[in-house]
Amino acid sequence: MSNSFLDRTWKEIEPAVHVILGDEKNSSLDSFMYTQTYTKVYDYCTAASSRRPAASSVGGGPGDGSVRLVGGELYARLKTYLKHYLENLKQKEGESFLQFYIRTWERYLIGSTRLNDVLDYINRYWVTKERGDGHREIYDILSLCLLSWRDYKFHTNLDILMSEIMEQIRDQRLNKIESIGNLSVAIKSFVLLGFDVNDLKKQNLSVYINDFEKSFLTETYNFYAEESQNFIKEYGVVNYLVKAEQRIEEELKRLEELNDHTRRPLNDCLNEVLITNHADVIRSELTPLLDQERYSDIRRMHHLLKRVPMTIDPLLQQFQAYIRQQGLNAVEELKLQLEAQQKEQSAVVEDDGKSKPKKGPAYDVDAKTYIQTLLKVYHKFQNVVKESFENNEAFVKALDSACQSFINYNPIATPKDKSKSKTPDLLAKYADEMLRKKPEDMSVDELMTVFKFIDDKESFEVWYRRFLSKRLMGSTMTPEDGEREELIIGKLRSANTQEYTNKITNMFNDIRVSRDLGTLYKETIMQEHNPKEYVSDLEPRILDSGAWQSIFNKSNESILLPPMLINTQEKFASIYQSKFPGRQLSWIWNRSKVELKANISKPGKPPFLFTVTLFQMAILYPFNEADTLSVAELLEATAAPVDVFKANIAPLVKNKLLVQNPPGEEAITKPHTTFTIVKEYTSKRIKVNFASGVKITDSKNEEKDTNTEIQMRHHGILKASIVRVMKARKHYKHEQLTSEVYKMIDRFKPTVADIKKAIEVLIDEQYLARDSEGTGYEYLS
Amino acid sequence: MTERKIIIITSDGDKFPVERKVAEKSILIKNMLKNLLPAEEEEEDDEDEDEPIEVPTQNVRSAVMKNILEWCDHYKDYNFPDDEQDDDSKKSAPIDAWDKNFLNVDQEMLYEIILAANYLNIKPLLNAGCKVVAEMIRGKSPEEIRKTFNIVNDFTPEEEAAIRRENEWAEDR
Repeated sequence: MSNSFLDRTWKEIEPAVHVILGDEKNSSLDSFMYTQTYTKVYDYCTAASSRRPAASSVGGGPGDGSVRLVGGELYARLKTYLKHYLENLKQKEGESFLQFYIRTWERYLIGSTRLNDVLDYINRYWVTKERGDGHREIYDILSLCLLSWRDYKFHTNLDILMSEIMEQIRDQRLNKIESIGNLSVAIKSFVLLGFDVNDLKKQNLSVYINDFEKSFLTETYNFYAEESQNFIKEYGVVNYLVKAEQRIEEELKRLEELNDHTRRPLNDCLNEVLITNHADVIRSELTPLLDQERYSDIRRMHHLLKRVPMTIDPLLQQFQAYIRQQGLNAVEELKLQLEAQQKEQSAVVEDDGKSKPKKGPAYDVDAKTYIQTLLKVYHKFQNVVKESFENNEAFVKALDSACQSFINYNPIATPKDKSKSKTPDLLAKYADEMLRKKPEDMSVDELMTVFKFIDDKESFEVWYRRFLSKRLMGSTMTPEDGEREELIIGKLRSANTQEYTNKITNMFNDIRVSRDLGTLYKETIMQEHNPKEYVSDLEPRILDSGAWQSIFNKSNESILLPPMLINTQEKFASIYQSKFPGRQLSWIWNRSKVELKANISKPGKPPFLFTVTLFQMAILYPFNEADTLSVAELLEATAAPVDVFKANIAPLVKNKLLVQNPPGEEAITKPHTTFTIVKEYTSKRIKVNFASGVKITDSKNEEKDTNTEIQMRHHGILKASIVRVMKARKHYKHEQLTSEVYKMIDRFKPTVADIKKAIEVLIDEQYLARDSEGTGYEYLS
Repeated sequence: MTERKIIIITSDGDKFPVERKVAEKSILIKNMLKNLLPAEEEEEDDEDEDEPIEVPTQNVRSAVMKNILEWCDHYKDYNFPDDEQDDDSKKSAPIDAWDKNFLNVDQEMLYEIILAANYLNIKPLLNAGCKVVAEMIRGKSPEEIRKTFNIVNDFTPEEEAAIRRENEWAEDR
């Protein structure tokens, strides 16, 4: 093929190519020029190749034997032309390089697209064939244009271009320039300049990432490293929280101008430079902000920090420690207050000259005040979790852990390091007070809130039953009271287990069954020949020893029953035995109360109604026969133990039903001391309660007894757990056993000493044996 | 918006006013309109909305263009799938009956239509044309083919024997 044909063709199309890419006069392309240029290229390619076979048959042609289409020379001419064209583009006067780049790029991109269509025949005919043959260095016309731009316009001016772009971004960050709308044209050009040489349709971001994104991120990091440092120094953390948030928002908006690929790295960069690097300083502000109750600032802090999840853990720890300290402080304050009150009172008593130095703690804890103090802290921070931490689960957990800690262990609950927590007792007392007095500022929900945090749920249960027994025995329970009791039992059951509330439920049910038995008794005696031989208004309490025994076990003194009650006792026993054959009834006299009608009023007045204990009745009964009786005679008639006798007769003397001779506390148990019943009793009320003055012997020891019971329960649970573990493991190391047992028990927290003790006992009882190495145990079946 | 009129001017100076969608069966013309029209509309907005745009097609004479436009008009509402990698099923598909009838012209005209389809970049027409030619070759001996296409055998007997040997594998047996 002749070079002259190529020269002629190129000469004919070159002016059009210039116009298409953009000339100085900005001439426009018309349809004639368009199709003419297309036709010239078409003619060149087709004419040249149609001559080829002749040439080859004459001269043998290129030796490769494959068909080589024509177009390469034209392509090469164009390539050279593009280099020349790009290198000769002129920067206008007063125009920055960046402006020049953007202006020429916008025109060039349009030109390249058009040129690609006008020279389409080269693409279709020669380029396709070359690329099909694996010549990857040959591109379609558009790609050739872009690559030429990359090589002769972009890479050669990279430094100045980037520095002007960064300057522009910096100016914008400093608020010097309103919009960088046209900056995005430059940035988008970087995206178009990268593509995969193997698949020209596939974009790759190599140019954008390597030449732009990297320096953009470095620049961003440096800019904010400096700004944030200075800002915190000058305006403090709280203002910085606002600033950082605002900066992040701005930068994320900038992403609209950038390729989305930058989203992740920019996010990471901002998080590091604006948050992670200052996380410690930011967090150190939490405590002062909590002190000042600035919850919206804390919310801002959380909002910022949570962009970097690893900064949240230390924040949680700090928050948790703060709540715990606040809880401890509140309790300490209450304790000081109580001690001060106590001092004041004892000072008053001392003035009377009767005070004795008090044993035990130097103050009484009011359960209601104590529990409400705990709740106040809880509610305060529950609100903080909501206001500042969006009720985030992790913060709820931190709050719960903190509360669990100070609710169980604080200066009042555990005055000494290793003492057993008193919170369960106090909470049970709180429940008791709530159920008895029904004040408006106590509620079941509050009770359950604290219950949830109690470590030693066993202890609470034991105490709860103590108080429940008193409420149940008080016999003043109305149906509404009953519903309230059952509501709480239900809540305890759902907060724990069916088994947990078993005994409580049984106690409650016993009272109901007893009521039915009382009715049955009444119906039975009505059918007797002589109903008057029996007490008609009997209110029996039949209590299951399983649930109640621990409460009564130490206080079952015997007595000679007044003869007039013997029929009643026997009758009831026989009714019960016939209804529940095989069950054993044991009578707990010291809990029994009697209402007596006493005909010792002034003439014309109605008889008195005395409420007395059964023991008091036994004491009074012989006075039906004689006006004066000695201690010796009374002890013989009642067969009561001396201390019981003393406790029961004292209120009768004190309330002037009996006259003691000689008087005085000392003489009350001397055999020759006598008691005389008054002829006419005087009282403002018709109903007189002598029973309430009787000190039940076990009340003094109640706390001790209860604690002993709790200890035994703990011990029992521990033993059962250890046996269960050992039965499964057969042979186990001490540490493994301890930790597994510890994990297994959720109703209280056993100490290592408790566990050791239980193991010792099990070894003594031959359930376990030490292994030969002495570091573990074996299960003996 | 009224559509700009398009007038195709052939090599011998005849003018063919056509609908845009007919003209755009030619990818050459379609691309050109895409490149030239939006810019023109911006610049000369209301000036010559009605002025038709002239499309010179230097390599096609009117007799051929008439045929080409008949084909384009027939398919004006049909969208050819424009997947570039023509798969085998398309290659081996029989010629469309209408196309076959349409291309039932004398050999000279057939070649001119094929050349014009290539020039104007009308792929479906180019393919149809090539298939018709292939049909003319199918099942014929070299001598018959030479006769059909009016080709003078310029191989020496030795050359012909050598080529036969080389291509033995392709022989129908």
